[in-house]
Amino acid sequence: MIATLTDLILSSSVHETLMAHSWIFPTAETVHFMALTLFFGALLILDLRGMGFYKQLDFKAAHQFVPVVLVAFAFIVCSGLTFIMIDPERYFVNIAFQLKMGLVLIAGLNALLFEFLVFKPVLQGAQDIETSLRAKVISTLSLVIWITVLILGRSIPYVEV
Amino acid sequence: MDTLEFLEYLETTALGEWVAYSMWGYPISLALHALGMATVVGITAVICLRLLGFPKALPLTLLARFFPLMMAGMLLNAATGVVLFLGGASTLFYNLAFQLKIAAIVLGLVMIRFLHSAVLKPFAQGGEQHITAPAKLLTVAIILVWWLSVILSGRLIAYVGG
Repeated sequence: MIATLTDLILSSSVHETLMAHSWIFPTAETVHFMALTLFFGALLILDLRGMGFYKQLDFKAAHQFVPVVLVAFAFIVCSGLTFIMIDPERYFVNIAFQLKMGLVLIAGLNALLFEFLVFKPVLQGAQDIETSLRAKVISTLSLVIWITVLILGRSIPYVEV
Repeated sequence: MDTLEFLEYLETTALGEWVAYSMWGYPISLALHALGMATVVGITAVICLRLLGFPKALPLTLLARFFPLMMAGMLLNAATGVVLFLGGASTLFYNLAFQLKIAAIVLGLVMIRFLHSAVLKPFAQGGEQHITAPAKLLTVAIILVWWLSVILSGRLIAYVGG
């Protein structure tokens, strides 16, 4: 399947267009880095609040950072897809990349857990959920996973075979 | 000992050799440098966004409390940055992108210092209406310097020769 996907990308016109301009890759890298800092900054506050820090920040108000995180994530995905479209062979076989993608998926599911098992109940008036172990575990997990994603991403060039 | 000799000497120190030649020295330092970057620039971006008005629900009094977190990221980046520099001192020192990056960091630090003492502290006591147009301009300038130039020039180090 990966071989087919690689061939599909390499023979696509998008791949050809992106390859024709040498500035695209470094530009996508810069966008990726800038977006990930905003993503991580907003996430850091969101998760730390979930873990019980910054209590002065209203729990529901902290949730306003979610759109910031999502917009930043959209930029990260677009620039990330650009890397893959330019050089699919480099990424698909890379163990750091594979682990990173798996963890991104898990982090996404974890965020959904937070949404439905923590935020929704709090919104409906279940105040005790806000300081529950459940909220702390999901938030801690989120932060740990994303830090690992960041470290794995930076390791991609160094685990090449 | 002239400058170049000194830079070459730095590369022969234990840390310099660890980062340049060991299997994990460079990737570990680089990964931690990225983590520090995300913390420093990310928190700065959030503070600046809030000063520009979003999200309103985030109390201004809280912004100054994010500073220790930012400082922790800054320390991590200074430490890993020095280690990374030791690994390639004699080429990095003469790399234009590296020089621009250091200049952007220094400029950013001065502005962050100013943001803290002249903007965040007074506004934390005053409230929303005290955020003046110059203060907003300053926050935008900080975003540009930290966010764009440091990351852009940092990325360019990999592309620009010594």
